[in-house]
Amino acid sequence: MSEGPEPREAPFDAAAEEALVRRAQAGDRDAFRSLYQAYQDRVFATAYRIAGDRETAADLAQEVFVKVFEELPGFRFGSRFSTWLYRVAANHAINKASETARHARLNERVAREKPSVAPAAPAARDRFADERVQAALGGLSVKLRVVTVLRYLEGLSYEEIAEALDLSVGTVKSRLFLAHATLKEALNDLVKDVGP
Amino acid sequence: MNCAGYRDVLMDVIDGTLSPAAREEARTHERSCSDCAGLARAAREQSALLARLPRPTPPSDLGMRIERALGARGAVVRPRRWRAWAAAAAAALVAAAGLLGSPRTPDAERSVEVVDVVLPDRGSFLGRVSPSAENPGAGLLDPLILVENP
Repeated sequence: MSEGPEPREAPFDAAAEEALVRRAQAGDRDAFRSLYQAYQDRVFATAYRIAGDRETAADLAQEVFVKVFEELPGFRFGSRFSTWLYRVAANHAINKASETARHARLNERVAREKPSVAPAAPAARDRFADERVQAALGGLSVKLRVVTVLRYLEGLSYEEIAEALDLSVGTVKSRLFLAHATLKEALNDLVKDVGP
Repeated sequence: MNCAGYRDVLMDVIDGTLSPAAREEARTHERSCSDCAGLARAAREQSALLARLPRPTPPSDLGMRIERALGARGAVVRPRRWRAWAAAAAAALVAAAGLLGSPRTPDAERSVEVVDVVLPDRGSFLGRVSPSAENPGAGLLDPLILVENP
């Protein structure tokens, strides 16, 4: 296991999650509702950080849960449901980003985005940092952006990222290294402005 | 350790997961290479900055959008308007009969479907349909979410 960023608090422990998934697999729509209600913020956040705008992220999140609902009967607990969910979400967002090449125009869009639709932040300083970070992430290739989002914004371990993206742990680390090297210039001023 | 070797273990350097011997090697390299030392410092600062960002909140209607999308893919296909009206009327009758007559069984609760019901000139709503034990072709309809009501 790796150290690094603190993992974000999970909505269920592994046993409770598995019980809900099994009920959902048996056709219990309330159980599936509990799952998507618990995970929709994570799926939306992942999609937002990868795709770069809220409306696309909301569409992606909706499509991800429909896909998960359709494929749930075939889920065999080879990993935790949450890891599988990140896999579906990340791959869906990657495909979408590749299809539309939205990230090429991300900087312009972030600059135009109104504060009222920016991610919720308690202070202007945080919102400023969030927008700058989002713009910097948009400058990464999709491959580097995805591992960065899953590692630092979603708090997944290297092993979980490797499993979600079907990569080796070494590849995950090398992509993170490249991401850090690429972000060095883009975030250097921000780190000085707001502190690490 | 050279630069290539240092960069191979950079993530372990910033996570603090190197063995004591490898950590000492890495520190020795940092003292002799300002580029690698600067990269490690930047990576630490970036990871702290990124991990501190709040998770963006989804739109408040995301759950409803998911329900609608699931309903559209459920066992009950969104029907044409006149059929929806007929289906809603029939379901309401069955629901009334169900309220007066038999209570729902646990099995019926487990097999509910979410449907998107369109009422001509009256808007639409999401509902849950549970199979009726007395009439397998019909179901009990519970309104869940009012989608629009012009």
